[in-house]
Amino acid sequence: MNLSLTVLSDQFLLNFSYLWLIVIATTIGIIIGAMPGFGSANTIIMLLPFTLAVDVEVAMIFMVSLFVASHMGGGITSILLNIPGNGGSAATCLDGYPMAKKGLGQQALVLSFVASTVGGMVTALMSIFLLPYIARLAFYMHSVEMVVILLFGITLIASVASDNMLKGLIAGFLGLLIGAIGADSIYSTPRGTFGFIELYDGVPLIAVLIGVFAISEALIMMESSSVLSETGMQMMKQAGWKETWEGVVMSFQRTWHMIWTGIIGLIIGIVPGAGASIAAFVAYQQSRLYSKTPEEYGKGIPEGVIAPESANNGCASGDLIPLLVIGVPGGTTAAVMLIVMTYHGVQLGPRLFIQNPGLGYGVFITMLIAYAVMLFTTLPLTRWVSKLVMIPTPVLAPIIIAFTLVGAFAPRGYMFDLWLTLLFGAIGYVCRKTGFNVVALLIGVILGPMLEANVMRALRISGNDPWVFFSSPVGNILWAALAISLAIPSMVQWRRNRAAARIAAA
Amino acid sequence: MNDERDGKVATGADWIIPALGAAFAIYYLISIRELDWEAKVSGVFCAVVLFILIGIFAIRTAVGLLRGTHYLQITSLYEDHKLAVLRSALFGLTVLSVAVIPWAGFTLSTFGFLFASFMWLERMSVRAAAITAGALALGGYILFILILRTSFPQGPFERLVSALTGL
Repeated sequence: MNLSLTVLSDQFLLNFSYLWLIVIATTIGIIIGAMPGFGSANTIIMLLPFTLAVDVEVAMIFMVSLFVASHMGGGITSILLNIPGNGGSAATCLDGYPMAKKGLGQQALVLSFVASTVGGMVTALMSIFLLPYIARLAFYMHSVEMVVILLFGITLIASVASDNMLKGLIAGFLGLLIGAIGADSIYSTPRGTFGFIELYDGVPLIAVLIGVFAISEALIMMESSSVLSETGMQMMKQAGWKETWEGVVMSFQRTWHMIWTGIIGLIIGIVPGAGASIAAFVAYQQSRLYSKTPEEYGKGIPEGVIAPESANNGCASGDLIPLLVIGVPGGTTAAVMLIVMTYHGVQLGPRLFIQNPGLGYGVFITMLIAYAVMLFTTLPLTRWVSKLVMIPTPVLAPIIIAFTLVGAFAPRGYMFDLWLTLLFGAIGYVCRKTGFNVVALLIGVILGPMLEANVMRALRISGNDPWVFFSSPVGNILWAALAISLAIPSMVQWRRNRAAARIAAA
Repeated sequence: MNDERDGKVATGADWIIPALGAAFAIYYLISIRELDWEAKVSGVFCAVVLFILIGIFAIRTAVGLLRGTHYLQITSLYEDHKLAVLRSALFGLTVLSVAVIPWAGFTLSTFGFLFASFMWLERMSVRAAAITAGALALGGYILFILILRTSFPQGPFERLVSALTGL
């Protein structure tokens, strides 16, 4: 994996000669990233005739640009409508939407774009130089460690995203159980499907995402005539270029924050299957842990937008490392890229960097250029895009429902998925009204099949020995971290209650 | 639950999700009782943890009620009549629009849903509602069906455009 300046400069020149393609791909990526149900993987699949017809270098420039842009675009609807475009931007809702409600939607969008760009560029640069070393991290993550990471992810989200950790955990484990619906991967026997053949492949994630976020949010929106508070509306009416500049300044006052949360995303992204949703929540939780004002998180704090967005885009770099270095895709889009590269006769793994180093390193050069291009195309848009929240809710809510339902139908083309979306919309509404966190529920559904696959693999390898889950040193450290993450919030709450009781007694 | 009175926590409506969760977990366990151990170990684990968590939630609620820190209130999902009517209207129209998609197709069902919602919820004039809903439905048709080729059921509008233009 020798890195030479000639290879890098050749790749820069090649990418610059396809700048027009990067502009087109990033524009498509941002739009589909902001539309729940139209992920980058689906779009690349729809555009397969193009990527298979052109040279592999051109195909990679197109796919990588679209992929990173979709990571960036997911934050737009999270901030403005409290509806994440994809799982990776679910954590952005926590502080992005409160900022938009306060009339700071434009600044929040700028924070999201700048953090995405900085997180993405720093991690792409790091990937170029550290590729051979950081890829080794993936070798330590076997099925046992993955089981603990996935459970850790759920408990983390339950404690971070919920006011009430117990309700968050109930929502998370209910999500995991919903994620276990469908035929098992070894015997193909249906479980918990209520007799519906449409559920044999599992519960479609997009239907859950759109139901619990978009439909339930539209129903909640009806409580007031506008998403914005009165002061927020006044601020939005007067908003101009000054607010965009304010957002840029706010972002660069937190440059180090953008960098380290991006690195968290990179590290988590390298673990195959861990994904952007976990990366964004871990970064958010770490950001709150080291903050001087942790109580401000969830109320609309800039760091609460920066951390998940930077990590989400850092994860995009991490996702591609195992694909290139060991031929294991880190996520769905990476899997589609693998198919395209294999079709073009590219051999992935260590051999790629000997036979065609330009292609391997070129992926990250494309990322660098795509992020730079996006910063210039997205920032001017924030002034107008942020006005979306000024539409009265009786108009906005039906539009959200009408167009997100298309996303629920698109991936599989089943009418059943639309009914399922409405069911999850009703469940999401009840969850929101009664304090059960819908993010924890969604992440549970996403992680459920991964948890099952890893539990099954670990048990098969160990000859059905349940002690296998405590057999690895890395796994045991993670178990300890999981126990601590469960105990700390309860201890903090207990101490607070005791202090409050003392004050009341005095 | 978010609803609080004099620092006390309301409980009642927040039992809907745990009750649904417990009912689903029981159904899930029944559906997997005949399967091989490997096919059910993950589901059993999740269901057992869910039962434990719901148990802790029940104990907490009971203790809260006994100590007087919680109070029973089951009307939290129904704040006031006007809002409940609006919300039910929106959800009802959504259900209706999904039900007619197989016959009306994407464009007409979307137009009908948006038109009715704008008229009912926003009290728009017929003309404004028709223009806004028409423009949005047409935009959706161009983006999702013509460009992104989403395979929505074809309705009279899609068939007519296809017959006239070959698109």
